[in-house]
Amino acid sequence: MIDWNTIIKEHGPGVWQTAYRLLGNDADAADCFQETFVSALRFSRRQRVRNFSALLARLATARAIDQLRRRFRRVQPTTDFDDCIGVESESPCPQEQAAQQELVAKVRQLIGELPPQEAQVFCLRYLNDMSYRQIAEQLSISTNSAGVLLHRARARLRESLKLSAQELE
Amino acid sequence: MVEDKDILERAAEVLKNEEIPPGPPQEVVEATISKLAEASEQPSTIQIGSRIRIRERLKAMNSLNKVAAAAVLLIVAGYAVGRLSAPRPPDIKELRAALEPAIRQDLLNEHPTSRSFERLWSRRFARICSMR
Repeated sequence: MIDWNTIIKEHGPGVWQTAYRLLGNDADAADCFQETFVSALRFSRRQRVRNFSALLARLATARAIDQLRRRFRRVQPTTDFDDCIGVESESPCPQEQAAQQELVAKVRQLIGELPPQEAQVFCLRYLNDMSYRQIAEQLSISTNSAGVLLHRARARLRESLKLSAQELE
Repeated sequence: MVEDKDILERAAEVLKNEEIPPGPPQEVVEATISKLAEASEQPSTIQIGSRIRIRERLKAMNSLNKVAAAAVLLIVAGYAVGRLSAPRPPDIKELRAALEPAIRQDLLNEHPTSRSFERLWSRRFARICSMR
């Protein structure tokens, strides 16, 4: 019998960070947090969980990407600042802070526009610091496939970021 | 190329290092716990569904096995019946014994003075056997 209170206590902060980092606001992060644990419960009914930390990171990332995709399908924001709820930063320069917030919002949007699996691999690698092997295990794919997906995600994101930068200039 | 890479690396770094308010809030934790309690009380429909599917597959496999076994039995029985009811191959010795007097008589009538009687007899017998 799994003690979910202990699991939430132990892994809750990690799930919250993953969700909030990708979604950028309390309401969406809270939804994602709940969905993640309910998904984990369903998963644990089907098979034994060996690594809750990795499973929850993967599920939180997947749910957050789902929300991002829904969000950017629903509204095509004219300016990225509208969606961005700022968190107090220690950055002394307001201009730099604004630029960073804009970049974060743009990356969120671009992640939401990536094919789901590529987005997941990118987030697990760059935001959760998972190794290729861990990613492959979590997504039930080969290590090579994980590498290919990451390569594609990077290429797409790089291209999109380049285009955005050119548009701004 | 280096510049592009820098954009991506910088973007990922900024996203990763973005300040996140401490959490999750207590009310979110409580809501999650109650949702989990609700979900754990619900019957596991997926498991029951998959069990039903497995049982159906086993049933289908059972009937398939029965059909295969019946087919094998039919083939074996057919082979046995065919084998038992087939005409026996003629016994050469018996045949030779049965035909020998008549052929010998024929040959004697045809070649009353021939010395190579045994040779003629063998040839004639072989020809008769091949005709049969």
